[in-house]
Amino acid sequence: MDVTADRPSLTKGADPILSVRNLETTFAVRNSTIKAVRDVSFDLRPGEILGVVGESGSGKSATVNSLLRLLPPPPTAVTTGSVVYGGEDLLTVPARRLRAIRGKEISMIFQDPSTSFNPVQTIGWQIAEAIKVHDRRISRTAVRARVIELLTMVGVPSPQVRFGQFPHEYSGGMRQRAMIAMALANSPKIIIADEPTTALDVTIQAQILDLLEKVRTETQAATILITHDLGIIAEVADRVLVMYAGKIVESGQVREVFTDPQHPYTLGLLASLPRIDTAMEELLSIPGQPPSMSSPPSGCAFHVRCKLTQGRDRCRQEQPALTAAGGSGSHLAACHFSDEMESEAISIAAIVGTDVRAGTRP
Amino acid sequence: MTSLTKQPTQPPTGPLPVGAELLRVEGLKVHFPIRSRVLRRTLGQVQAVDGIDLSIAAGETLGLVGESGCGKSTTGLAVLRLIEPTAGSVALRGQELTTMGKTDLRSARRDMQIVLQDPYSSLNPRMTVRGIISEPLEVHGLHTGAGRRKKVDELLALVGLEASHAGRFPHEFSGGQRQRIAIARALALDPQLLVLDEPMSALDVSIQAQIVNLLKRLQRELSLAYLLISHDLSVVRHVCDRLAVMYLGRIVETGRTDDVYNRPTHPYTQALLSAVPQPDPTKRGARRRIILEGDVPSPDHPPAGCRFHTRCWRAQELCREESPALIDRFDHGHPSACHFAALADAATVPSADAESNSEPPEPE
Repeated sequence: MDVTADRPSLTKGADPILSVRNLETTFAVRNSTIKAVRDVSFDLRPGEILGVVGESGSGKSATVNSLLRLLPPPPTAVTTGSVVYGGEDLLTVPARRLRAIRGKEISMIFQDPSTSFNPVQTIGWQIAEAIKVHDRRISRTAVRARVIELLTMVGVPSPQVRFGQFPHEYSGGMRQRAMIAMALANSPKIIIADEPTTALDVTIQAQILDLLEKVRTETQAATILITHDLGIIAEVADRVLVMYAGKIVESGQVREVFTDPQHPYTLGLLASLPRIDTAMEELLSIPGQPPSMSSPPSGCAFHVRCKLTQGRDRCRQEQPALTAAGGSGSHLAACHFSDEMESEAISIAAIVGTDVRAGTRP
Repeated sequence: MTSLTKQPTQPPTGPLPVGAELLRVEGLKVHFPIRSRVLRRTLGQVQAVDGIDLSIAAGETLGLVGESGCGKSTTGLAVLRLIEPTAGSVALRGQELTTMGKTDLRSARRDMQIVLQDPYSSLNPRMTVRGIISEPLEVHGLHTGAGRRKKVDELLALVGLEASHAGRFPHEFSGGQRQRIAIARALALDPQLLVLDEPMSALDVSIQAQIVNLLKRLQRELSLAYLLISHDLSVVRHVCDRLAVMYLGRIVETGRTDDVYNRPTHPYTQALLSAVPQPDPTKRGARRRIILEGDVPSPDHPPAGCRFHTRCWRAQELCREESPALIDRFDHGHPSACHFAALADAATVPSADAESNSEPPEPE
């Protein structure tokens, strides 16, 4: 299935900084294989925040871990496809070259700041190490000055003192700030943030989201933001990929995906979310469970939970391609019956008591 | 609690009519001593819950919201006397629980059950589903043999599982199904009050909605009262009739859900509500996000005066000295504990050029 070549959205605008094509990742577990990532293609453009949203097991973390070859080596995990960054395919570059890119040009922020730091080294030492690994000749005073500058930038109070403290002396929110400081240490071109606020309280989450936006403005780094929270995507991302069962089922500008979803899964997620700004009569849950990735359903993986399918054979037999939907060139969806989404949204509104699509309430 | 009895406990005196007061909590305090390991001396107190009042009517849902460490879960446990309260009174159907003896407490517990957050660790992995759900019946000596089997089958059907699931073990179920099992177990004794401690937060969005809908249906069918403990303000808005917002062991604002969400008067409530990301990108920039500075202070050394003053943009000298009472300041019918309680508007939320103790929100 090679439809990537002529996708209008993927070539529009500035040249992509990262091009992912036909990425597939398979894990071998005991007697079976799990296809965690299935034919994922997308571009990341300079300076944008690209949101990746999906439920647990949808393949969002496996996708970004595959990009940087952070998964166990074959035969445990096998990744195919291409990930082109600066003219090089990250999936095939030598390990030495990859190490020079990881942490310097592409850096990561992980979910749980309490387990991502080494508990027996100071925060300052650990951030300094991230700098020294990529610049062996830098002086000790220069490193220290740089780390303190970074801690100041991410809003860690009294950075001179904090430099010498251990991870357990930091609160959760402060640790996540320190993690972001470490990710920024070498002025990366791409930051990958995997559920950066999931472990945090809502007021601390607001601080960190604010910081990520500030970082984007100041460094112009492109960000891939992975989250299960549609609210976070709507608040900070420019574009979004919606993943289900290892595939991208919908992608586009955040505004168009939320105001006019073209895949029933995206609409289903919106209908199952309680809202803080309005009273909903009922939540419309998506029936059933996310599929097992060792034997995903045939055809469209969502058909077993989909209201739109109405028993039609096409959904069960034929995998829908990710194609233009919803009118704008940048909006893609992988559904055979995207043209029925408008009436589907209206029938959901009748049950839920409000139109769940964005922009429909004052 | 470990001694099993074969004698049926006293049956509850039948359900209360919807709207009658089921639970009343007054001046509840839970303090945990901090002990020195060497000298076994008490060094201080963690004031997890520090004097709160609550009431729940039959058939009603009260939400208890706040960030981690605010004492909401401790409150839930203390209400069931799964933690001994340090002070205060908890009355269920007018019966004081805090002074009750073991036997009476056990029969009182037939009326109040708990559903915990993590369905992966709250179910015994070595017991079958039937064993898990019938254990409360066994403890209370209710039903025998065929009657107990029938009761378990009924409970499974009630929560949307099949009778054929009864012989399986928890690991064979997904998170959402496990939470259904936990709910079935909690319902086994036909309680009137369920304490729900973050029952949805370990679940995915689509599954979370299934559990929310199930809880709402069960409430309608069985006239249950819920004490829902949650950090998710969207879920609370959808599920609760009334709510209480907690901060560092105290209630800072309480009232009917719509009132509090539409007209919050405590700065903490306002910040909390504004911080929840909304799935509507068309509203980006239209709302003002209040970004609080810093973290929640430690409950072993809570700030003097108003406990929120260290993060509050409205704080003045008075706030550092005097703890504000939880009183109705606007005749809204929803009290708030702030000396300078005010409706949120452009003048009261911090802006880019606000005073220095508030972090300026980024222009969006």
